Amino acid sequence: MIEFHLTVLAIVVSFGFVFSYLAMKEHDLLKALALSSVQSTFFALGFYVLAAPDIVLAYLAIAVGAYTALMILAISKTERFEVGK
Amino acid sequence: MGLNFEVVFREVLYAVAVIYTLAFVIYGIRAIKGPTTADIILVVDCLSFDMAAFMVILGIYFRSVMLASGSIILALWAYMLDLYYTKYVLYGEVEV
Amino acid sequence: MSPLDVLYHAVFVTGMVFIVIGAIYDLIAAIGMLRFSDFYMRTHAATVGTIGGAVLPVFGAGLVALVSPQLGELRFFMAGIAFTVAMLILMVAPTGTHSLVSAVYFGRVGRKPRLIVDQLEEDLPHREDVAELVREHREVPGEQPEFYFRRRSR
Repeated sequence: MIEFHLTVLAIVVSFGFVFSYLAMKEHDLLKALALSSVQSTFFALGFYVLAAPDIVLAYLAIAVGAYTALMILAISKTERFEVGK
Repeated sequence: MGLNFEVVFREVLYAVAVIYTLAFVIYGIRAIKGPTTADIILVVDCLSFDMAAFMVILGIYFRSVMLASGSIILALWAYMLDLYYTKYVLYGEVEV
Repeated sequence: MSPLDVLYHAVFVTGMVFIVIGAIYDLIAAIGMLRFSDFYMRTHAATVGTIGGAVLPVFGAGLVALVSPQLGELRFFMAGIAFTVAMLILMVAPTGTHSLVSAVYFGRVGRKPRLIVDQLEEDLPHREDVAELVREHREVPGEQPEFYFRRRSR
């Protein structure tokens, strides 16, 4: 069963890495925020497979919820697109 | 004759977990390819709800109520992301 | 086997069948989400993935947890969590998808697919609240979007 745990953990963390890289290279800030929320959802499952319930509860509320809400609020007060290369 | 519930559940869980992980990978590929932001938000929606279901099923396997209760929070916060994206696109401003 | 044993077996088999069917639904929804061509088609796959792929297996997991002997006294808590999550997703998922589709339609996100008839667009000039939204925003991937912030009219 430990092989199954490690396989799921490897897949989930690899996808989190890919999405954090894509979010970093994106010029549209709202799209970067959506990619970042995909990454945090995958990491939540990673913490779940690692059997850390307190970290799952805190990480979900912060990374999926409060972070995206505050970032959308911040984007709506400023500009959506990065200017320049 | 009676079924041993624990053994049957564990044997079925292996197959179900493989199918769920495959589905998560395919959702992730669509999130990478997604041309617009709305596609990514839709993928986050589906991914969060399916991950909540997977968390409940794995919570029975791990015999932990604390682990399974994270799924309620995951479902509700993913719903909030939809509403905030809609308010941003349609009205241009978001109130907390 | 006592009659209570038979009842337990029936509930357990029903729950396992729900879980397996839900997993297959989820895989079908993922393949549909990957292969459909535009956003409005992908919402069909999202419907299959949330109602068939999340509500059904969670409900089945609640039934399984209710009769699992290895959980001990925790099984009632686990079944309560499972039914709560099932009811929450059943209420929350259609609402979120509807709001997302309205954002895509009225906000003109992405390229509009070729439709045979669009009765909402014919109906739009009679509705001044959403007609104002349609004129102001357009966003196509790959091009610079014509986008600026607007204030709520009322």
